[in-house]
Amino acid sequence: MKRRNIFSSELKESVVRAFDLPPDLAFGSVLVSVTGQNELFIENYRGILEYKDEHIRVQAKDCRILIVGKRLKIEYYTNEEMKIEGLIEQIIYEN
Amino acid sequence: MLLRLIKYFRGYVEVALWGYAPERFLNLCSNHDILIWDLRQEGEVYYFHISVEGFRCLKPLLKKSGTHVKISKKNGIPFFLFRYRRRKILFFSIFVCMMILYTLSRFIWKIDINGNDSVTDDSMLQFLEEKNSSYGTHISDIDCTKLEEEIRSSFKSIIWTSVKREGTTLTIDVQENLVVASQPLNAKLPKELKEQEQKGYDLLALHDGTIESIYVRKGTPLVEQGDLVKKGDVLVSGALPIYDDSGTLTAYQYCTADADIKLRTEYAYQDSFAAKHTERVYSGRSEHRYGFGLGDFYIQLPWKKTGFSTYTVLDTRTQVRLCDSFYLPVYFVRRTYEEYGQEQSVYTKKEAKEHAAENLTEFLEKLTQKGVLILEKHVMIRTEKNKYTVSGKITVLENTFRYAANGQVADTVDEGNVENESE
Repeated sequence: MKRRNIFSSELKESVVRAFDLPPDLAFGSVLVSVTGQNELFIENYRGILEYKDEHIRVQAKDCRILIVGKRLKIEYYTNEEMKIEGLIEQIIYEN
Repeated sequence: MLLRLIKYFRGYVEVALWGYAPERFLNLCSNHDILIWDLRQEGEVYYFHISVEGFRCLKPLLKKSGTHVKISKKNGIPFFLFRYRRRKILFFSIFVCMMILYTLSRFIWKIDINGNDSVTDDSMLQFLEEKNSSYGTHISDIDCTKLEEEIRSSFKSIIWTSVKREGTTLTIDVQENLVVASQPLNAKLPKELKEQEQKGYDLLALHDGTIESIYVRKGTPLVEQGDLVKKGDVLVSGALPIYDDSGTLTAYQYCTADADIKLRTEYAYQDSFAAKHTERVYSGRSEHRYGFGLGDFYIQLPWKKTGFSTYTVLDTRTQVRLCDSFYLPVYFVRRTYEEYGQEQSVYTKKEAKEHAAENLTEFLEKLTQKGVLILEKHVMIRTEKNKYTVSGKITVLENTFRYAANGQVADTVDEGNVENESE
């Protein structure tokens, strides 16, 4: 816990900004890349909260991502990355 | 694509999943590094693909998440083999097919020759046949570097070669000398003579004629410019006389004579053809038939007969191949039958003249190819009864001679002495 205190969020932020570090590595932020309306990659996530034909809810480090669409299908699903196919209509961040 | 292939080879199952907390089950899977793919939902049931090993590890996860699974489909090679395990002939024929393909892949079935102009494909193929590197040769018997050297030394006009083997294809790239050699083709020492080169060789006249010019590089000239020579006369002797200080002949040293000799000689030209002749008149009707060629065999696919009484046959052969360089000794053959009728006709005087000129040009071209310079031609055409006779003389300048082991000159000196002299 002590370590956490030294690297307080403000200090960490300024260090990241000063050294131009990629934020997904430094903060463990979730990465979402969308190709067109049919393909979506999610990296750096914790797990699936809910999976239905029309929406998928994914837990990331500090938020949840809700993907709303039609005929959603998980092409593959590993610890690091998942690929979703189907008609994507909305991507919603829930805090 | 490759990943799919690997998955197919190792086998995978499609699994139906239902129960209390399927999402928890999915998270557990990813935490345990069990890969699942093609996940989809139909109503309350989830379907996904999982490898066989992955499926075996699922039991504790199912218990934890309170879900149930059922295999709905089995895919991949292991399941395929298991399902058809009783079909012995199927597996046997697959095995035999593989063996045949493997065996065929060990031989040369296609030869590509590029860059040749004066050396024909046929002569190159014949050469390969002599060197046991033609069609049907075992791949391990092909020595590309040795072949390259042999091609270069056997064909004088080829100055660069590259021989490479890829799959069942042998590719021969050659570069020919663009500057035409001044030496005629038949004036080089035959190879079989070269191998037994212990004595010298003389140059002999091939025809009767007059010596127009003579330049000797090696040997003793026995004729001069303007001399009349007969066929078989020695023009240049390969024996070099050696005199001692007092001017008496002591010995001969032998060499292979070499010279540029221009001989003015005459060729008789004789040609005759009947005035009446039959001509092929193509009706324009043609039909195709298809079949397979296996070496020299031809297997016609069953089809009705053409019904032509007289016809010419033209084969178009396409070699069957598995991939870019893996050719097989099987040809797809398209056979074209062209019908023709025979018509009798008589040459008019003009037509006869044209026909005679055609034949003459052909004859002259053959001469020119031999490296002969044509100086004059006197040709007459005579009409006899239903027959045309063409005769005449063609005066040419030729640069040909033939080699003969020398022996006519100085038989008295035996070989041992000669060797001592040359040392």
